[in-house]
Amino acid sequence: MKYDVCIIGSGAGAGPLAYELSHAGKKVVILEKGDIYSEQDFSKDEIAYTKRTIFTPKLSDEYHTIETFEDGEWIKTPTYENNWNFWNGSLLGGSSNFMSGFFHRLKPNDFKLKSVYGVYEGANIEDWPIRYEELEPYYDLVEKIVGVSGHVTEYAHQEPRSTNAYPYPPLEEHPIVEKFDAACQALNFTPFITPRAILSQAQGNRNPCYYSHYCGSYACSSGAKGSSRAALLQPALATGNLHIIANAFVIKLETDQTQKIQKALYLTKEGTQKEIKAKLFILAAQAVESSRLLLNSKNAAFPNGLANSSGAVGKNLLFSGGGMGSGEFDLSHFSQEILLQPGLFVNRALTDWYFTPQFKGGLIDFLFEHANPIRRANALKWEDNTLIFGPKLQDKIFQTFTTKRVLNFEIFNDWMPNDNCFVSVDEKYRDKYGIPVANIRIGAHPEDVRVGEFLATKAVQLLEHMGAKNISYSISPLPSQNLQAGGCRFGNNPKKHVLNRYCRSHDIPNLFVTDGSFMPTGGSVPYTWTIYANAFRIADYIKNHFDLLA
Amino acid sequence: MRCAKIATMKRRTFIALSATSPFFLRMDTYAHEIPAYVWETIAIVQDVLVPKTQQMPSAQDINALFYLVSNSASEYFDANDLNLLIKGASVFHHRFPDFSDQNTQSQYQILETASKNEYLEQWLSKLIYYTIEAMFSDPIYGGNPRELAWKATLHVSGNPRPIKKYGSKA
Repeated sequence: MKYDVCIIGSGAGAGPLAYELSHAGKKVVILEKGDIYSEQDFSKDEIAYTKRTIFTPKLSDEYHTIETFEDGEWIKTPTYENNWNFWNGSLLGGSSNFMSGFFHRLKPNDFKLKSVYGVYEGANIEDWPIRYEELEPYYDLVEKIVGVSGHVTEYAHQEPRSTNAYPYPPLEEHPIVEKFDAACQALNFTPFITPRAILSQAQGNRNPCYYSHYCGSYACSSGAKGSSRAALLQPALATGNLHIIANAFVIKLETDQTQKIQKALYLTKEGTQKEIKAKLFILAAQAVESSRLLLNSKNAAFPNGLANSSGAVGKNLLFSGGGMGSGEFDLSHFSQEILLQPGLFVNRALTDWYFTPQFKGGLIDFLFEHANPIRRANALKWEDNTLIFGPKLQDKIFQTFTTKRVLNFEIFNDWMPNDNCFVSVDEKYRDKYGIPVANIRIGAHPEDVRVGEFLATKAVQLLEHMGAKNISYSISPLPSQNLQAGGCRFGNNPKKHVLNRYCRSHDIPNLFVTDGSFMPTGGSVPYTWTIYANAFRIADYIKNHFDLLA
Repeated sequence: MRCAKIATMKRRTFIALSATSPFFLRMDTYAHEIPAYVWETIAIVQDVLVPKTQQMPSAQDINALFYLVSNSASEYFDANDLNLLIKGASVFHHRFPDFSDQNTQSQYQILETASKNEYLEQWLSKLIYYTIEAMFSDPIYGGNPRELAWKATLHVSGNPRPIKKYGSKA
């Protein structure tokens, strides 16, 4: 059988395509590397979700190599040695199952960073080929279809909206927000209410949030979290036009004599090679793996990899700059009952310095420390780099768990694209199937840390005013591995850009890349909402031009 | 008193091991080569690392040894961690052969001394980690019986709780 559309991956960059094209009557197949789960399969099991590699491949079987700059040279380390896991969710819906759902739109000036701030030496920033206004209707569509709850906060950098309210009211909040808002007022900061991709009210077959107390890093048991699986793929399956092949690891895209992709070759869980033919191929395997597949698909006609006549595949990989910090609250701030009240959200952010007159700033999200007791207790065994144990450790665990609560902040600022942050493949390093693994060179621009430090001082100022104790933070040039973008920039110049403005390969007419790979710059927010919105935009383009594209 | 403690420990070790035959199946040829003193050493050190206090359950209360032995049989258990736990116990036993004969105060002093050695500090740190896993993981994994540790620390578990281990489908 030849499908109309073959989608590789099933996360945020894939779901909107499957949803829209299956509803438009196209025959769609998804090749998903992992297994299929439903809400009934999920639980709040700290061991399974955070302490073992259940929903990602074993690093001893499938790994990446990481290059970091140490003592004047680039050192390459396989991740099975350093346990730095760049897999983020090999299951239907991908890593969107495990997101916290902090949903922020990009701002209009994020689309033209170079025009606004000029050249940063050593950074390859450039304007996007589209403007905010072109994406705005799709941000709005995501609010309605994926489901975003919140309250629109008026503030200095508020982006234009086609509606003046979110479709779902804000989630319930912990009383600590009263301290947050009061401190903001005193400091002349704007208390920004964070939109969440979590339903506060039921939508179709999806139940609302039930405040389970374990959210970030866990798949949602009610369907409230706006994962690609719950929000898009389940409705797409109901059309009868979507077929999902699970445990299908795509290892190569093969082209024909017309330089179109003819088929995707994939391995089953048992290692048997199979193939799928389609008219259009949509790659959405998350930024690192998408570049890996294109590079590994090289052939005589495309000796440097597919879609890579520009030599730009894998280049200008993006993560998120910034870091995180925390402050403690205890029984001097709240009664024990209120302090330990589980499940309720903080949903506050500081966005006053998203843009500054001198430089691009960023965003600070606030949230309670995740509930995970194993992680929290284990972190207590060190004091001044000395191991503690016995009654001292036990008393510390008891006191911390029963009288303290940690308010975290997470800083997001632009990861400056640069020549030393990219994906490549090295034939010497292969996974258990014999396929070359992705090598990720991680070079950060100094601006990333400088801006992170600037924003951290604002967060600390706020926590101090709230009366928090033991305030600390860490800003690092090393990234969080779950925030990936770039590697297949879109733009109008086939000599520089992998994709055109519709995320279609300049070289291969029936290939689109719709995960975060297209982004030339990432903005200072988590990427998921923008990936969803852009994927809906591309879906519209494909629907309207299918006969020409196929 | 000291002898009784050792006797209890040995019985506990035996129960933990005999209840977890899959471990030996997995460890295959070398499992039977792990001397009993390794598990006995782990058990008695766990007791000192995580003792009963007025508020908190002890390593024994939370089935820490059983948890470790049974879960180390899983394909998801980190092989490097298992190697460190076993080899570290052997190193510790040979360096401090009289540990189990000491009173509690002396045992703390020995652990303080051991923790100044980089390798043994790593071992102790890992042992504390897996004892804490036993303490705070869902009882389905064999530790934290009757949710003792959750109750002691007023921790509210997430909902729904797992009905199968390691994320297996319902």
